[in-house]
Amino acid sequence: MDAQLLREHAENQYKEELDALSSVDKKQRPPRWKMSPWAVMTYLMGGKLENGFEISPKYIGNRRTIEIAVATLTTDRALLLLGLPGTAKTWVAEHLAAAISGDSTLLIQGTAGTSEESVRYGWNYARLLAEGPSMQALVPSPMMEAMKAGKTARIEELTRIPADVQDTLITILSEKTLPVPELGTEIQAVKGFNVIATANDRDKGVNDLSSALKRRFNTVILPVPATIEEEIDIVTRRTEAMGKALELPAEKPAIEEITRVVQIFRELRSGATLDGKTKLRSPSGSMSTAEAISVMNNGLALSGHFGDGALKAEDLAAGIVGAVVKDPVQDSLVLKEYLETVVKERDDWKDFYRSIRHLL
Amino acid sequence: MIFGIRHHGPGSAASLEKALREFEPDIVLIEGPPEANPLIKYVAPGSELIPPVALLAYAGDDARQACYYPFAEFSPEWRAMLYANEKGLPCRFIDLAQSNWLALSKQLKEEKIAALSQTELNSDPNAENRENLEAPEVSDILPDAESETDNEDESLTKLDDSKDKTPPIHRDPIGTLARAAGYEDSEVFWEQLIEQRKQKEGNACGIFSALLEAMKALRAQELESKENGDLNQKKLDYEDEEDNLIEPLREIAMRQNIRQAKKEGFKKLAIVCGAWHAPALTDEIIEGKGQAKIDAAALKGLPKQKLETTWIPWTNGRLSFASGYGAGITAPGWYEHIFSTEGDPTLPWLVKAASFLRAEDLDASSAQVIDAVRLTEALTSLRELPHPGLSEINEAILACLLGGNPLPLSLIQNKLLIGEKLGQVPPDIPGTPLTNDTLRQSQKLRIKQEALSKTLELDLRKPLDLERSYFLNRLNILNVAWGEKQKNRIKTSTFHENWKLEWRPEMSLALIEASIWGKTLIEASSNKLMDAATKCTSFKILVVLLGQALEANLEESIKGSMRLASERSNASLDVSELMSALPVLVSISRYGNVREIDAELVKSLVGHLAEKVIINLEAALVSLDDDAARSMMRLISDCEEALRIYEEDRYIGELYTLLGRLARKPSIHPLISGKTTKLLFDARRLNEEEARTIMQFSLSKASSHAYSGMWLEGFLTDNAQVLIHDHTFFQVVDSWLQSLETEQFQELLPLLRKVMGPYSIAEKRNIQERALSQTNWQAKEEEAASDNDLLLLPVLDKVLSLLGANLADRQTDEVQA
Repeated sequence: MDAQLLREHAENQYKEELDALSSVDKKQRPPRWKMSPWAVMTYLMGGKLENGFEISPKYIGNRRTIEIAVATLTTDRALLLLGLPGTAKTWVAEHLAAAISGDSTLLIQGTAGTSEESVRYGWNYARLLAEGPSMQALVPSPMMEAMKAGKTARIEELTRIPADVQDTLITILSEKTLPVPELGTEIQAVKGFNVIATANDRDKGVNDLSSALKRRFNTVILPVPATIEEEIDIVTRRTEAMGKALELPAEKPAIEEITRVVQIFRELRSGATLDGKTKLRSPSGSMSTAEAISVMNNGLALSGHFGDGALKAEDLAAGIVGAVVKDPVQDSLVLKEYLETVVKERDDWKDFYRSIRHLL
Repeated sequence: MIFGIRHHGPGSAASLEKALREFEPDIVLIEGPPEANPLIKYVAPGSELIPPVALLAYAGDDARQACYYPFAEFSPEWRAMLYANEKGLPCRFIDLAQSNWLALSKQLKEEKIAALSQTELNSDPNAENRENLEAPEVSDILPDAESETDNEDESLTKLDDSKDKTPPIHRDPIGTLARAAGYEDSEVFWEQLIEQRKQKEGNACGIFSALLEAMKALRAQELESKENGDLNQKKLDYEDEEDNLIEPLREIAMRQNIRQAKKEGFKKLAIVCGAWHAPALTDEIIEGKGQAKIDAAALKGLPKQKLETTWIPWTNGRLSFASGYGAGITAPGWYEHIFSTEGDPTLPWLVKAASFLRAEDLDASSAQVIDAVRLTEALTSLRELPHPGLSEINEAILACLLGGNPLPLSLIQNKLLIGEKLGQVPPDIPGTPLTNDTLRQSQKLRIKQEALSKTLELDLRKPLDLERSYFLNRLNILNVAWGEKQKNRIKTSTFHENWKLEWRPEMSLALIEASIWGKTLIEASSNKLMDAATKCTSFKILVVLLGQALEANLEESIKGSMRLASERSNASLDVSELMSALPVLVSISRYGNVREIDAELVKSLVGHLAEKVIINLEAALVSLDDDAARSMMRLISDCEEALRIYEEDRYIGELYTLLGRLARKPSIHPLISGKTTKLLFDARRLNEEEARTIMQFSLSKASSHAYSGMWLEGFLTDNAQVLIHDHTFFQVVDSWLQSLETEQFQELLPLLRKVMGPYSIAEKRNIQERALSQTNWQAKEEEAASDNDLLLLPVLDKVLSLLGANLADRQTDEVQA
């Protein structure tokens, strides 16, 4: 069983960095934290340690935003990361959990079908019938595990969880206890326990948080990247990292290609060209940075397996069309308009124009 | 002892107060204009002079040349004055005399303009640049003058946007210090180190000595870089030039004033000045050999400008940097809070924010406030700051109280960060006679100087309200927009006026500026109005001025502009000008007795105008475009109303005869033809039969539908009654509408909406009922015949319900089609 994993957990992938950090970290650590808040910040934002070790930045963007998130976790308040799809909410949450508890696996995936058992606990029915209710017959949820071990639990897509299930979180968050009435007992959270939830408040099929629950979270909104340079940086780093992990045979993408893809994404997202001169219609999709990254990876795979290994416009075109056109009628009109009014006019974008045009 | 401070720094203020008590000086010397020395005595505990206030120094002959020195409760200078007066110590301003300063900058500006126009002759004109220099508007001078006094602070707030090019040290001394201390943001550095410092008892003077040493080092460094020629390579901009000329003079003046105080035998001097100046005022320099002589020589022969000074009320808003005030601070409300709070300011600030949020109907529970306090603390320690700053607290508010949504924060931003606070100046402080008169009157009329905007409803039948209306109108003539007249919602009530009241500090200046016009409000506004009336060349503007004089009840100017109007009316040939003047004059003549205006003069003028209008009107109506016709339609209607109520009835008779001719004349614009028909019908000059004939004629098939539509606009505007009460008119309109093709109807729809839109709901409903009752039977009959067509009806219904009246007509029309 030593098949290689498709994707490692953050705490394994960046083990070296985490170890290096905790070895130099002499600052005070909150109870059961693997490192001090300062080290957590360095882990997320990147930096050079005193011994010369380079920590890669995990989040590229406003440092103050992440500071609020980390500071929240040092108090016993839960953290809610809000933002549009593809703004690195899950990414930040995973790395926070990895850095703070050394464990990013205590995860509850929120879906419309998430039941109360997955937040609290379930039963092993065979044992329940054979032995009657007991601690041994109880199947703990990741939340319960985290409470017992004083670790960080994560809830993904909190707003997709039905409202009545969301409510079970209230007691856990405010009283830090999980009652088990069947056994007449309760699980009390150990110091170090906390919850990081991610949510998207503007997607289809989300359940609004009740204000009672909202009040138990400190909310941090992760914005879309503020500048094109920032976004190019993000796409470049992530594409490289993923290309390595997926062992794509292609060359590293040229910065020009990344710049152009990011520019297309930013222009369509904001509804205006970068120079602010032309107004554009925005497609129905969110045109997130995450999608830009997957367009790049897609292109790399195409050029590596079917092309000559060098990333070309035609390798990227299919990905771009796929990212923009979510609604076959409306969005292809939007893309066509964009092609004709913007892309066509740019002299050095002729290859993009031709290859996208070809696909529509 | 020199106390280097930062203007409007609450920490500086608190430290200064403690240090002064510890030091016990026998005289307090403050960086400020010596001309204002007599005004210091008003700053006393329990005085009615309540900050924020500003010292205003202005040129007596031209109040636009002025300079402000704003002070808040937490300004160190204010604390120093307060301390001196409390202890009965002498207190003086020691800066360069503002009279020299203003004259110098004026001179400099003039030189600059001369230089520019010189280059303009030679090369491309840099028009924009020149304009900026040429017209020293009050608003321009305002931040300018202040930035001169406080450039060391100004640069503080400007640091962020000049990261790549390091500014000269004297523009940013704190920034240089902050960078040396490893802070990126000089603001944060100063806030943490000085403003939020909790002073330990017993060593209040220590920080000032330390600051003096730091500034000494900085100045030495700057001197060095200057000598190395760093600065010379850079082209000096205008501001630098002024700095280079005036800054040394200011320090020289301060030194001279300090010497003077020493000569008078004072032993323990407390010198309060901007931190940057501190090293130039040390004893070593003051008592340096020969220095006194050099200084005295430098101040000789400076240009001078005669100045007056006074206290004026100021607002927190104008203290803030956002208002364009050069030495402004980002959050006066926060500073005030720090200054007035004992102990840790975080919790009280969050409680305040929460209560403002609740006032805006937003959730803000105490539990959330507690969480916010804890987050603030956590953030502070994570960022390794000694105290939480404003940004930590704001971020905590955002995360804990607002769920990350920044919009509500902007709702409370002004109240919280800036604080709507207006200072107060007691009436016994010498201001200009006009200011005093205005204040006296406002007190009499119970109109308060308030920074908050609020609405004042006046019933002009009450004497007090009438006086108030006069008062506000007079101020408006002087360009002091204390009250802004609102459009009346109810058109018919002429005796109601709504005013939006908001006092802004710059109005004090506007009042002082206006004092060239006179010593009392009536005199000044009257003189200014007459001046404008004499100068104006257009009859129309003259009439507007006359109307203003009337609203402000300025007898002198009413009479004067009346006289002018009668002279000018002969020269004016533009009928529309005369027509717009007529209603104003008629109302003057109607109320003339009350106001003791020469009735004969008015009468003859009205007669003259009326005759001229009646003679020239027809010629003026030839070939008008739609817009011109529309405004003419209004004018005719106004004139008709004016002449109808005018005491002499022969003019209205003549007018009706003319209108009767116009109504039947086919070449007249349909709007006017429709309107005249309406006016005549209302005045019973046309009977029903005649009016209907004209209507049918105008709506007949041969006229284009656009013509008919506009005729209806003229006839039906403000005239719903005729459709409701008169069956025959309704039918004419009804059958005309039915005769229209669908495209034609769609084309006319906007126009019809415009006409009928303003009808009252009751009127619309009346018309609709009438329409339905007329055609119900028809619709029913057709219903069975053509179900398919009826499917169209709901859509049309929607369109037509906007029109109200035509709903039923179209239903039948469509069904028939």
